[in-house]
Amino acid sequence: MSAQVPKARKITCIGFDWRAEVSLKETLALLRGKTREAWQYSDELTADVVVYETHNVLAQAMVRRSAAENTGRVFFPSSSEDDSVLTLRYPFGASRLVACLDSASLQLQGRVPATEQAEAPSLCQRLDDALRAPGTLAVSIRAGDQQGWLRLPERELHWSQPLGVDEIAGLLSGEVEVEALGPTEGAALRRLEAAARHPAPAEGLLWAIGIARSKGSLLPRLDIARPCRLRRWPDFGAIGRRSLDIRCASLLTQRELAPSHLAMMAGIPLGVLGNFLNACALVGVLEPGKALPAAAPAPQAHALPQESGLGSVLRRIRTALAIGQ
Amino acid sequence: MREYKLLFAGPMGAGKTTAIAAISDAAPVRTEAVNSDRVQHSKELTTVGFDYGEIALDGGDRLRLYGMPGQDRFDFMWKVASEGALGVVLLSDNSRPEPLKDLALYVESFRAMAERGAMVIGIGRLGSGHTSVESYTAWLAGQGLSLPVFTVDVRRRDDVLLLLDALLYQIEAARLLADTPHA
Repeated sequence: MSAQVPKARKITCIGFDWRAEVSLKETLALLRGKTREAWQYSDELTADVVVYETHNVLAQAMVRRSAAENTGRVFFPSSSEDDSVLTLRYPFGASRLVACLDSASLQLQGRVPATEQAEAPSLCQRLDDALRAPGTLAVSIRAGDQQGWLRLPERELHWSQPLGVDEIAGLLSGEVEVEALGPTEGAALRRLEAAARHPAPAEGLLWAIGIARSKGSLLPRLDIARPCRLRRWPDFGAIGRRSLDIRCASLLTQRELAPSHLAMMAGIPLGVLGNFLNACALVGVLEPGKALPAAAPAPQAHALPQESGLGSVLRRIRTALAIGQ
Repeated sequence: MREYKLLFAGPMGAGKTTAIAAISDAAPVRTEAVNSDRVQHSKELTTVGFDYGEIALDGGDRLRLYGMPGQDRFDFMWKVASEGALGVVLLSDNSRPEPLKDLALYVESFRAMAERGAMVIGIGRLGSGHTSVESYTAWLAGQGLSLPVFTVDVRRRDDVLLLLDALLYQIEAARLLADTPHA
């Protein structure tokens, strides 16, 4: 009987530019065999260890959220006023990184890797369920003492005080109550209309919830084998961009594809792709394809073609502009 | 040395010259003259030939960036410039009276690139007009096109990079899908 090989722990970084991500991947490769446990880089926000830029809003929200949920995830900030806190700053030094990873191993001891944890439905799933519940006219959203609501079908967001998307996303990093309101809750609807009058951009908020509050799981209503497509592009000018989201949007607006097929073509793990698809579903731009799931060709391991002449030109343009690496 | 080209098109005052200046290796060559068409736009100078910038690529090749003159009396130049271009960035000025009519003119002029997905649309001054992003995408859908449409401020380099990032992925996706059988 062969010995079971322990799974590698996962580490990711948030809030740094792409150079930091590349540096972390390369340094991890160099440190193979030099740490207590095996480590691999992951794009998933649910990784066991998160290195974050202290001033990044999304990272701050994740830290607060993780503390509230007691996920056991380990966070290393890029800086801290407290000298006793282990920090990890780009460029990542090898000895510092080893110290942080070994410290994280001790903290994570006895805990199963993040991807194996059984978790309650994500905020993304609860919100999606509420938005799709039959007869829903509006969805009430409560975070602490702040109240908001989404009017359907327009998906107009109103909040109890004037706030931008980043501020609302910060509020929603903690515990959030979501409730679907139908025709029989007329009184509750009128109270909401009176209490939350300030309009706020909804697409950016829904997108942020899909990306950051999906717990790495594809919404149950989305099937990895069922083709889907985008009926329009999300407005990345308003909601902020990640290159992998743009890459996926390009493919899914040009052809309907099953998520499993898309993951192969885009070279993106399904766990990461799931956040993108969930965000598209919440925003309302994802629609089922016409092809039957059974007709979809099985993804092939060699789906990414060899670089062509045009591919080389595009890659060199990206390098020159330092985008989408 | 090989040369590749990208086009920037859109009505007068949409920000083509500004967008090229934001990403060009050197200050772009500008061919501006006193604007004699104050009905179209009130700015004093306007582009009468191509604006031109360039970006050096690995291996000694060059990416040339051409800003098309905005006035439609120069549309013969748009067709000449389109030959062999990788793609086109269309900039819309939402404060103009009929931005969707502008869009129609430019999409039609660069139709071949639009149909192969090598087009991206950046909407400037969104809040100064009454046409929503959804109206742009709905108009495109009516034309059978699903192209990236983003709200941008081309004075910000990052916004110009967003447009180029999307354009490059559009071109790459079209190539990838051409090699992949339909489900």
